[in-house]
Amino acid sequence: MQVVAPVPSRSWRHALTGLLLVSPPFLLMLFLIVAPTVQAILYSTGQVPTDNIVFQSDIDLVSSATPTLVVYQRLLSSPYVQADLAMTFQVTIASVVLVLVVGYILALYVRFSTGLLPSIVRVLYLIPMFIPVVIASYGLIEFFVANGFLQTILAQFGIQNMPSPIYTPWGIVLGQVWTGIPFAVLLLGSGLDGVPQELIEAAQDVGASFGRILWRIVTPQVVTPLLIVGTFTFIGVLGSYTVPYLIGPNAPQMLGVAMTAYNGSYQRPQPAVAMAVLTFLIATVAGAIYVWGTSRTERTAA
Amino acid sequence: MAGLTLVDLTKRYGGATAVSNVSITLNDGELLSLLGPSGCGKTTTLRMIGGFITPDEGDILIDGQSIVRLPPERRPTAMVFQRYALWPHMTVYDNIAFGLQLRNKSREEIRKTVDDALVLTGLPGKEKRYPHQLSGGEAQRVALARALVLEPRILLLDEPLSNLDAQLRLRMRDEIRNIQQRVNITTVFVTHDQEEALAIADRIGVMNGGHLEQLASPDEIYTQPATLFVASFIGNMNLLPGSITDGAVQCGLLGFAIPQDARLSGSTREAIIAVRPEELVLDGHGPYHGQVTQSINLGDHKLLVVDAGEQLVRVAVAREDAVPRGTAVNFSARRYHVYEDGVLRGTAVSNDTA
Repeated sequence: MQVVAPVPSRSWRHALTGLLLVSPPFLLMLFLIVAPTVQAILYSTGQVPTDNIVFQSDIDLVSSATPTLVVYQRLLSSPYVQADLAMTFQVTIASVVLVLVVGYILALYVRFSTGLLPSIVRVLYLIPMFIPVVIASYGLIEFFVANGFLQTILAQFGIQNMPSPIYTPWGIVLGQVWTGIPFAVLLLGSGLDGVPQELIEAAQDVGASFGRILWRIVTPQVVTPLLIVGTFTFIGVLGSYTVPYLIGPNAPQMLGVAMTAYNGSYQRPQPAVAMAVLTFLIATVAGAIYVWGTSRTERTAA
Repeated sequence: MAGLTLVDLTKRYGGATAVSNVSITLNDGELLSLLGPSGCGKTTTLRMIGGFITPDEGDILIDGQSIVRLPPERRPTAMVFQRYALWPHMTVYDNIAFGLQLRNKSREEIRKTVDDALVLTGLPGKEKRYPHQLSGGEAQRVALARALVLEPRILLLDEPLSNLDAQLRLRMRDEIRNIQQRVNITTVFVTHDQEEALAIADRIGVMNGGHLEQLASPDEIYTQPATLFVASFIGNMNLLPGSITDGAVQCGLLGFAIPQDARLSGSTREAIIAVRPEELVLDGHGPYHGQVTQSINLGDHKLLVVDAGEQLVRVAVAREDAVPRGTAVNFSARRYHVYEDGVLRGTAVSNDTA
């Protein structure tokens, strides 16, 4: 093999071209994510810009020459915010678990079954993807609400007083599972399709039952898709607004709804921004776990 | 160690028959090579033995016991897959130990068995590596060790050398044969490589279009190909179509006497003479005449392409024989086969030019 030393001038040109190519997304990220994040952190720690009347309009504004955590202390000591945070975590974790479990079961069914029914399921699970969240939310409300479609049908069979999940945290979970399933099954399905049939047959050959094959052979191969689905569902549900606003309870509320209420109805932009910073930090931790998990998995399977 | 019997094994996919009425009896410790071109049904047959495909008809018996209804995990067989099929998230040790763990063996027993298998397959010190850290040959040995630790009664090898480079193929071929003989395990080895089959097998089953064309020892397969397909598939062969006239087959200008014991059906006046290049010898008094059009150097010998009028025939000569292009030559045939309707009808052996 002949090794050719790079020519410096060409190398510079290449480097410059590369920088120019990456600069648009980098600048976009700088202006849309990094700059607002820095601004939000400064504002929520008492660094209030003098030229921003919206930021100054907070009715209980904390303004300080040096960074302070007073806004966060007040926020996190409020029983209402504590309840909001607790519900947000509960709904998020329940949604992630259910999306992963239901999505994985559906993906496994489609991967390992043959015949007409799996083909139908393969089409059906995609349907929620084509229905806007607002429409789907109202559809779920109409179906599950007290005296709605489901209860009317059940009443015909003498089943009455079934509790409705609508306007409860479970209603939000239901909505999040509905909207999250297509993405989850698509991703997990493609992950399962990537597991070579020979690996499964080799496990069968040494005497593994279907359950053992799933647990010891198949699932370790789809850790990355599982992590992607888990992380993205977590971040999506954590910051969601439409489903919890339409299907969730009035109080406590999920952080996305609470943030909007604080920012608009309560005229409290500073705690709203503090909530946004907290949400961003939690999402960052989830993102970091995802990056750590995928890089670890890829190192093992490289 | 066990005997394997396939009885009229048949598999169809829609209207196409992948395997048709294959019957084979394999003795204890014997190595059978299923040989044939792509799509001939050899892998389908192997996968039916392993339980990955259910036959439409026929039976599979191991030591007289039918296993045809057992799922793969309950069959006393173990398979080495074409692309090794090592589990990428497990180390070499875990790959080999997995089957033993499923059998609830003690940790010490598993450790000892895996260590023995690593020694047998020449892999000591590699147990902590992951499959992606292994070379092709090492991965192949792990796959073999994984199969052998379970002490299967039948070992199934699905083109295990096809992903290795030429040098490694030769070495692994010998190693597999060596291990198979040491363990004395009844083995079915699928390959499309005739040289591999001839070198490794006790018997070869040549398959074509789902049918078993011939089941015989490597020597018999080479010297007495039962069908025209086997004759054309194994080794180099001159196939000369001709017509039957007065006790001979006339192939253009070349006439071949039909042997006394030939059993022609008489259904046709056409026959094919099959003669290997090494059975044609340059002979000043030979009955056949032609002109050398090409000399191909194959390293250990040369192949002359001789224009014999209406036929081009290949004649093998020693490496040091210099026969330039354009040379007029006479040659004779020491041994040739007569095929009618694709079936061997007789073999002529000449004593004159031995």
